[in-house]
Amino acid sequence: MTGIMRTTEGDVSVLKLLEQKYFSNSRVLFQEHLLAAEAASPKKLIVLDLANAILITSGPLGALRASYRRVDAQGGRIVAAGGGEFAVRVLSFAANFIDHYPSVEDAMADIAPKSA
Amino acid sequence: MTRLSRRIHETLTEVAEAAAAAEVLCAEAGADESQSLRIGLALDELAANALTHGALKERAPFIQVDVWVEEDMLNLKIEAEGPRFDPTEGRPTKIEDYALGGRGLSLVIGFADALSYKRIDGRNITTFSVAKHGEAE
Repeated sequence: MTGIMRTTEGDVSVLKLLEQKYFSNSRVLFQEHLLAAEAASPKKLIVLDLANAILITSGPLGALRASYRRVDAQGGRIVAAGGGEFAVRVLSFAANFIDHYPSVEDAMADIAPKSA
Repeated sequence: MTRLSRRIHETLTEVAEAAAAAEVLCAEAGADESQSLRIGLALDELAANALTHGALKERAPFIQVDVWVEEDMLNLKIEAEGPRFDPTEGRPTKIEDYALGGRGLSLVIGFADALSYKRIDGRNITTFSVAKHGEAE
């Protein structure tokens, strides 16, 4: 387990957090995976699936902030989905620039809606 | 009294290990999960900040971390060499007043039930406390 798994669904890069806790020493891990996710999505659409994460501290959130700035400047979006209650609370408190959805499906439906 | 005492010398990995150990200590002492996570969060934020901005610049750096559980409270003390850093200074009355630039500090302040600071002999001593049991869900 490397801590984060990246997949691609259509135009969207999905980063799934595989662990429960991400402390300050996870900043570089976040940076690397976010940069890869940006490169893999020409439209710069990224979903961060918090999955079973229950704690994320400001170190990795700083990497998320930097990615948000890059993606936003290119007309893309980065959003979060799922996660434990405390992790979501931390996110809403320290990373309120990120929209959060209950599930990855909800996030996908909003940022990359399939045409009817 | 249930207690954890660690000395961190140079890496964020040491900080993360101490934070994880502190959470386990609090959980085993019967604290709510959210309250144990608050201690882990604050330990990571305060120790990482001390490591990055303070202790690394000293000749013989170390950060002393102590976590102890009282009947109704979980307590964390971070003691580190370095430039004066008082996390309680300028504490706004509303969480919403904090800017994003101070994410780590705002998390510490926002999730504390009590926060205090002392400076003794060139060392910053911060104590962070939360109730052992949070508000009813």
